[in-house]
Amino acid sequence: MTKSLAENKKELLSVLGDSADIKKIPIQIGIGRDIECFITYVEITGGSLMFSKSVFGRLVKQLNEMTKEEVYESLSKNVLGITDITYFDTIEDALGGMFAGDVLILVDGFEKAMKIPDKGYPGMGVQEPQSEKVIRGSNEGFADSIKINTALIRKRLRTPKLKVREVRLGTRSNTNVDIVYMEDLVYPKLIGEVEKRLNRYDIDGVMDSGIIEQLSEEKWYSPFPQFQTTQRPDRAAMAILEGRIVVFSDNSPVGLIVPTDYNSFIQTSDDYYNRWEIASFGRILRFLASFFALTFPGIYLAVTNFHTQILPTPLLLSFAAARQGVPFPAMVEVLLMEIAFELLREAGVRLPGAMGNTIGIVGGLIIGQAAVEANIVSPIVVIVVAFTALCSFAIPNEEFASAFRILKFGFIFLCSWLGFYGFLFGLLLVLIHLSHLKSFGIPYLMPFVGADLTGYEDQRDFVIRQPLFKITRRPVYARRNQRVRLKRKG
Amino acid sequence: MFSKNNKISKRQIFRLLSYDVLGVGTLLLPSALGKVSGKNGMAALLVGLLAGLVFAVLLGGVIESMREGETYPAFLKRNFGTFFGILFGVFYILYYLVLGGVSTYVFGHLIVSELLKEKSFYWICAGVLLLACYGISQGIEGRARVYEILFWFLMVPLFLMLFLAARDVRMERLFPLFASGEGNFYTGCLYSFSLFSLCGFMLFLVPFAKEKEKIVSASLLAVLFCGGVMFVIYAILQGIFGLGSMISQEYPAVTLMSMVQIPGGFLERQDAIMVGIWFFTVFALISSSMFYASENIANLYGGKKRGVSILIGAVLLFGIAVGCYRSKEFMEKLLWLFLYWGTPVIVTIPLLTYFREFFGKAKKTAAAVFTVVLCIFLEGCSTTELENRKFPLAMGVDLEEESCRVSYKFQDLSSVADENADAGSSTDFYIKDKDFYTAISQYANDSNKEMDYNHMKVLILSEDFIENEESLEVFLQICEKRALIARSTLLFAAEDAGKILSLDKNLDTPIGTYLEEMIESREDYKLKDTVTLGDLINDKANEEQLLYIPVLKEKGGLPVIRGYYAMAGGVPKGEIGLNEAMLSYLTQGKIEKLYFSMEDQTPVTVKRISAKRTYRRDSHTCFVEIGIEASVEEDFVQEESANPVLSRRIEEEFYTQLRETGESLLDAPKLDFTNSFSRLGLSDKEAYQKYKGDMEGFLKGLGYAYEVKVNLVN
Repeated sequence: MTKSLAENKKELLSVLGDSADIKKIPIQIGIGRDIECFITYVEITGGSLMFSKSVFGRLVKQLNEMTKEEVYESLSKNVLGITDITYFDTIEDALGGMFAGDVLILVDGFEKAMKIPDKGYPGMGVQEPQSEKVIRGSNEGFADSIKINTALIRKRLRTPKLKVREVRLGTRSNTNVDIVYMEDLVYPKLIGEVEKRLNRYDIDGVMDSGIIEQLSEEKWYSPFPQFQTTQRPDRAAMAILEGRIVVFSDNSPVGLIVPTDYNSFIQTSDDYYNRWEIASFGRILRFLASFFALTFPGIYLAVTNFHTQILPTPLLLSFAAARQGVPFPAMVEVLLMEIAFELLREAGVRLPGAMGNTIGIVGGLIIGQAAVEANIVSPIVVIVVAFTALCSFAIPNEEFASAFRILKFGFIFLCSWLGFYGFLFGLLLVLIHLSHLKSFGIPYLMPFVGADLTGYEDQRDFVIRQPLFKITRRPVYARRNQRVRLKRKG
Repeated sequence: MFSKNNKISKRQIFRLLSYDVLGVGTLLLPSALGKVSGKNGMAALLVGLLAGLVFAVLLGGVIESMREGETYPAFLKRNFGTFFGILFGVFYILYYLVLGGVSTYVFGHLIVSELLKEKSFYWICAGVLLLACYGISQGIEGRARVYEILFWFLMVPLFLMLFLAARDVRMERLFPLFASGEGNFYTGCLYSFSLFSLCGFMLFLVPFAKEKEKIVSASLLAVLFCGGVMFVIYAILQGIFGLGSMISQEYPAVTLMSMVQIPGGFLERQDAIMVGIWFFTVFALISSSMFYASENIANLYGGKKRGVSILIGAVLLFGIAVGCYRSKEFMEKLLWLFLYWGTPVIVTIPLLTYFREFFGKAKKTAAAVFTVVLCIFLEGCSTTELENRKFPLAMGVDLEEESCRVSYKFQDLSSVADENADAGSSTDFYIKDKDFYTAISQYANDSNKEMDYNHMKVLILSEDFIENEESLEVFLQICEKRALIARSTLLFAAEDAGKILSLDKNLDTPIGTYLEEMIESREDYKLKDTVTLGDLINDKANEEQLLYIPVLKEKGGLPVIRGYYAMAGGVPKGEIGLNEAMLSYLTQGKIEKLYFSMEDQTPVTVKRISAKRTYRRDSHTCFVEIGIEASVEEDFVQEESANPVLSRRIEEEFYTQLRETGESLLDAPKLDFTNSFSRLGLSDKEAYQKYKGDMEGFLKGLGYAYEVKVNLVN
């Protein structure tokens, strides 16, 4: 940039071209109105009251009371004390600042462009998270704005060791992506790896953290997520305290936590707010739920079609009696019900809130009952599918639960074809896959495996969540010399 | 931070090796060991275990002399030169291919015989080998993690099942120990050692171990652990089935799982679930063998193209498994090679390096020992839906005019669905043909539904059928080999089995359930055990036990027990009375409680009965001394002063009845009502061996002595 406003303006306009939503306003400032200025901003991001109440309005008002020399001095030294003023040396950087939602000002005789925040882009504020509901704990959820999200973390972790590293992704979207971590807890290699993976692709636009997640995964074919997602600031803050990294993408209320493992997906925030017995009971239920969400329809098919000797006789006879008159084989019956359930779920998600709930009731009760009465499905299959659905809903993370929902169909096919052998085959296949899967170098099955590496300390916060005073060490994610998280005073 | 370093921990090595040894070991070793070593099998197992431990320690010495991160093939080349290094490598390839191929066959055979009778063996094997390829291609870390995570998930249910099964062990079936003439003890030791020598896998783990020095301790622990588990399983199998029955079964451990009853009755039979243990453990051995074979194959061309080596390994394993499936002879030859060639060579090669200091130059030593070893050994699915099945809950088998009549009792499903219907509604059917197998096969063909015998509660055999040796033999063989009927099915006898089944119409529950409940809730006396089809199969094979099958008759339209059909050493001995059977059970300590009427009709309840049988032998006679101690509850209030008199009277009554019954049974159907022979091995090894197979000789010189003591309690 040069000191000449005309030159800077010309270059700026040549890059901007014609765009109806960008305001370009020339003004004069200084006591003698003898300094030419050029203001530009994206419509909406600058307030309509900018000359009276906004930061920019107050700045202009004060500059109008200064002499030419005083104006240049105050701009260069920020004597007016504007907290969030940013200077740019190039037009490209300046435009980047403007597109971030701030007002850009060019002053004749001043060789830098300045970005001053004003109203910014419209967005939703802090709201209660739609998923990851807890009975006890904060009701705050992440917002669309990345700045709000990092602030929500900072609000919980008030230490200078909490660092936020910002990168831009998307050649056209220029989306801000923040990497948040605790400087002394996280392995420096991990930060490098995260940055490396973020920069692995040149993409035109990043609309949500989900895009970052998919482009940064190590094993693209795995149905299991290798990033943990959260909408809860407390969950993210806890992860940071464990030595993990949280990645935020602008315009996304979902934070990505890395590294992660199976155990982390099963945990919830209120596991730590409730007493250990309740938390442990909940976790046992969730572990069982994850197993049955994957296998229950398959087990039903294997047992009823191949290994009837497992069931007690009265139960078996009741199953057989219930199937009388159903025209489809049991596998088709289960598939029909599972697909019907998935349709109901999909419809429930897409429809507006109240209608979504209605669909659940209509589908679950009325259609289910009607299907049984019409002998399309047997009552036991309705129970099997409903139980499986309950299990999948009990898994606290939606992305993680989706993996089980998808793989469940594989188990249905395997078990209906090969019975219990198919079940064992599928189980082993999933297990082999999971045992090879890693999230940023951490085995996915920690601490089922490799617990000896941390002297079995990680198993204190596993299926059984031991009393808090016993969980004295951070999990394996944190640096080795920074593992102590709790010690008794005195 | 973790990194993908392809290293595994001590815990993972322990679990990896344990899986490798346990799967095939628990499946095949018990019957194989029993066959060659008889009742010395347990001792042979222990000797093999000890040898395995020594071998593991010696291998530790080899590992110590290996350089950090050095592979075993590279070590062999360094020590014995390229030629012998490659030659030994080829040996290892063949060894692991045979091991993996036979394991794949066992895996496929287990699945098609226990889980999926209708499915293709080839597809099962191909599937599991593909899965193993996938697992191996991902490196040893992931493979180790699979077993690490599965370890307790499989071991806890296994231990639980063994704990539950241990209650049914008959100690006498384990004895005598160290008996002479009981098979070939040394061959048994070799079998057992061959299994534990699988710890030799540890040599290949050196480059993968996080801490090289911990490989040996992990391996020793694995051998000890597996040895302990194997010993317990072997003892339980022999103690439950008896030697004869155990060795006649292909996979006795799996059969055991079908018999163990989990308290609560939530699961009828859990053998299908428990097959999972062998699914994972045998899979571990397959993938280990494939891994080491492919590592050695890759090593032949400089450690490159591991993916191709894995595929070559998988194809060869498949070929061997198919060969075993198609030709039993081929499999036996492979096993012979494995035992008499593979194991010694696999032991010799590492030991050569261990002892090389004593023999001078390595290459010469290798050549010499190799030649000696050579010289020594040169001598030498279709699915059936639930509603398309029929579930007979009871079955009767009769002999009728030189043919076999099989009667079925089915639960009427429509009555199950209808809440208001009578729960006992059932349908029946009978079919007659030349023999049992033809009859049931014919019925299966003619019926519009598939027969599913898994839920049969009760099997009633007619006395004629039991007495017809050929029919009973064929019937038991079909039951055993085809696993047609669950071993836990209750067994009854009757004059006309079909007629007893037809009484179902008079009952408010199906006859199977009725008879089951009747046995459990008998008022006159409580037995500690019931007679099942499995007992009959076992005792027919063991030829040692005395078995009483309850005989049913009709009384007032209901089935009742009128007496017991005695089978001694697998031979039918005819029917005996209720009282005789009760006294016989009493001498065997199988009665918990007994209601008893004195000669003058005084009713008494005998509780806390303990019976003790001891054996004494002189040159001609074998005496069984029976001591019975019991507490008697008076059902009518008596004068306190009369108590000693009453207890003496009861003792006398018992004594007289025992003496008369014992003598009469010994005389007429020639029965030892104390069932002593099976326990003889516990106390008198010499007599046991003398009379084994000569029951008549044993009975000829048998005498009884009784001692009855009754305590009167209020």
